[in-house]
Amino acid sequence: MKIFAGKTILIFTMTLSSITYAANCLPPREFIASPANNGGAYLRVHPTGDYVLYTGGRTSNVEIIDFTKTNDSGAIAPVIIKTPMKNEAYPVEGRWDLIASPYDIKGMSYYSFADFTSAAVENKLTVEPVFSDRTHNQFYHSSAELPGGKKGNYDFRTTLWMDRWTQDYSVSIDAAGKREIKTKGARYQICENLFAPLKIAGVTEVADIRTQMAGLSNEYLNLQNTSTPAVLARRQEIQTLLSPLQQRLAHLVPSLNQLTLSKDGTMLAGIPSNKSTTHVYKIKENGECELVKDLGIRTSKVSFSYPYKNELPMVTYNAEGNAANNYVRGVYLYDLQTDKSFPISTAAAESASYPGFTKDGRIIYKAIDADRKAGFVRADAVSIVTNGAKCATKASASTPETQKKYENNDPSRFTQ
Amino acid sequence: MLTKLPLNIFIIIMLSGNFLFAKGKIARKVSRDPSSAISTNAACKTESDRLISSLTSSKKLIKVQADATDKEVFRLKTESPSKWLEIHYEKSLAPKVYEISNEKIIEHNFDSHCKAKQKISSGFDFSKSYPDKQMKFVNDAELQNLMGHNRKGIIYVWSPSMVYSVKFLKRYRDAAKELKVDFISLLDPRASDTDQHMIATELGTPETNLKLNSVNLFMLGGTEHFPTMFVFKNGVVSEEMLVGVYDHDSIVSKINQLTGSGL
Repeated sequence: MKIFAGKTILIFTMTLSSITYAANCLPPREFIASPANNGGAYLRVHPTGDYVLYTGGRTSNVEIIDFTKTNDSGAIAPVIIKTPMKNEAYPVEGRWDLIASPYDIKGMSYYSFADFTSAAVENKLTVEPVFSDRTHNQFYHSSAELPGGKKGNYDFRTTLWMDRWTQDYSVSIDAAGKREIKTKGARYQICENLFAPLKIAGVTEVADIRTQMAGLSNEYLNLQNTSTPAVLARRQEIQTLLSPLQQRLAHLVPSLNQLTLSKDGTMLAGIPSNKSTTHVYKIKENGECELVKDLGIRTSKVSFSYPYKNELPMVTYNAEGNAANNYVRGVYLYDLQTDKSFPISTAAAESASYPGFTKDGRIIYKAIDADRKAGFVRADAVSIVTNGAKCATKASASTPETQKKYENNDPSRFTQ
Repeated sequence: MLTKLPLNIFIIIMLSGNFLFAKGKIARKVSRDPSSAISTNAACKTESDRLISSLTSSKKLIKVQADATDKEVFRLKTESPSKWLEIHYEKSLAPKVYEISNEKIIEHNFDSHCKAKQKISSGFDFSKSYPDKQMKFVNDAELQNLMGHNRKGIIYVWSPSMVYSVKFLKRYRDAAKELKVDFISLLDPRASDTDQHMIATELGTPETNLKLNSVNLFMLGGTEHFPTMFVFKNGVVSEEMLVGVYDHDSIVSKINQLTGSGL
């Protein structure tokens, strides 16, 4: 009887699902021809899937591709928004309120994403950053909003590649939309307990080298405003002394390559330089880390899915092909909870960029089709993974409740 | 796997899947199933292991992304740097073993009696998939000539699709010059004509006309990120790479470390 009742519910659910399916169907893979191909492979995906942030290969200029416009026949007509950002600018993942663009004149400059999509701003190339940090500034960085944010204030974290230097920030937004951004505490080296632990052999040497380097660097900075022959000679000498120390340090302490923070800034993925596979770490409150998963394979820079409430997230990345698929580079999804990976792309459109997740479980990546034409693929991972690549209902972004949360930049959408 | 479950449990899973689906998450309807079991439990395991042992003495399997779920793919070096093995394991099936070189790809299959059969096809060659008459595709034999037999140097693999690999080519070339070792730059084999022309103009360097087509560099991971730096010594390429743009001292440190070792 219970089973019978269950069957009835199942049939009812499937019927309901079919009705929604017909009304609101997403193709499993949608190829959007690109208006221009500036060659870059560095892509980050907006939570709604309506925009991607894209660093050109030919220059370091960063563009935003806007997918919200359609042509007369109803097809998506991507619009390129040129920006003053450069150097693999990276969004503060989460609500995408800010974009972090390194090596600006003022340092790491944080721009308001809304300034680039606002109709009120005519020349987007003239947009000014809302905040800059001269100290915490480097490329290969990653930024993410931390849990607990509200509409008017939130905290975020930016982690740099070199030595995993990390800075947390707090943002307050007043009623007029003006932001006040402050550093929150001192910079720290995230996951230092795993990369330069204090209790392994050779660590005394690491600590000694760092002390020596800090002393020399401080002395160098203090001499910067003087240019007598003696001072110039000493500066030259300091540089000569620093070089072998840095070389020794590079040998002793591995780096975390291709690092990426999770969408809520509480996890970190990357490839330790002394290993050859992608690792995922959980970041503790004190900045120490613990290993969550070694994927066992080398991947590109990953993009995390938006977090699940009590389960591990998924990651998407691209990876090389093999003899069975004629070495076509593909996009994959790896479920950290179940240790399963799924192909997302097909040979018809080879992956040509890092992929990224949207909030509703789609994956977007740049692709090259069989005619060597560039475009973007919006793949519905929900239907590919769980529905056998059949067209599925549009996910959470289509519900009025979630749309409202997006419009209000409501961070509670993280914990649906 | 789901079909083996009692119907009521199956229904609960389906319903919870729908629930997650409606919330916009990707439903997880698979339970934890360590994929390493796929290669361990493969059919014709004894025969395939014997075949692999006959092709290489190396035991260092490098796991790489498989092109399908419930599949595992491994790379394995052979005694010749210009030939690698790929071993493909699929659930409940006999493995496929591929011998990969620029000259040919030999696919070894096993029939229902675990008897091995061969299929030979054309070799690993990016110039066929990404033709480009203006560029020279450097295969393993040509790379060997470039490296020589008693020299030291670095191989810098770069791509116009990753801007830093273009911007910082000079830093690596200067480091090689400073250490008096050779510098070989190879371009991403998938780079488009348009990008190459632009970069050739911008850099004006002769390096731009060589594209990677080496099985060895590919299998070691040379096309997964740009720039990637390999070190070579006496005609042997390091298995260790420097991935991404490093500062001058780290580059020098790595070159010294690897050229000072037996690689």
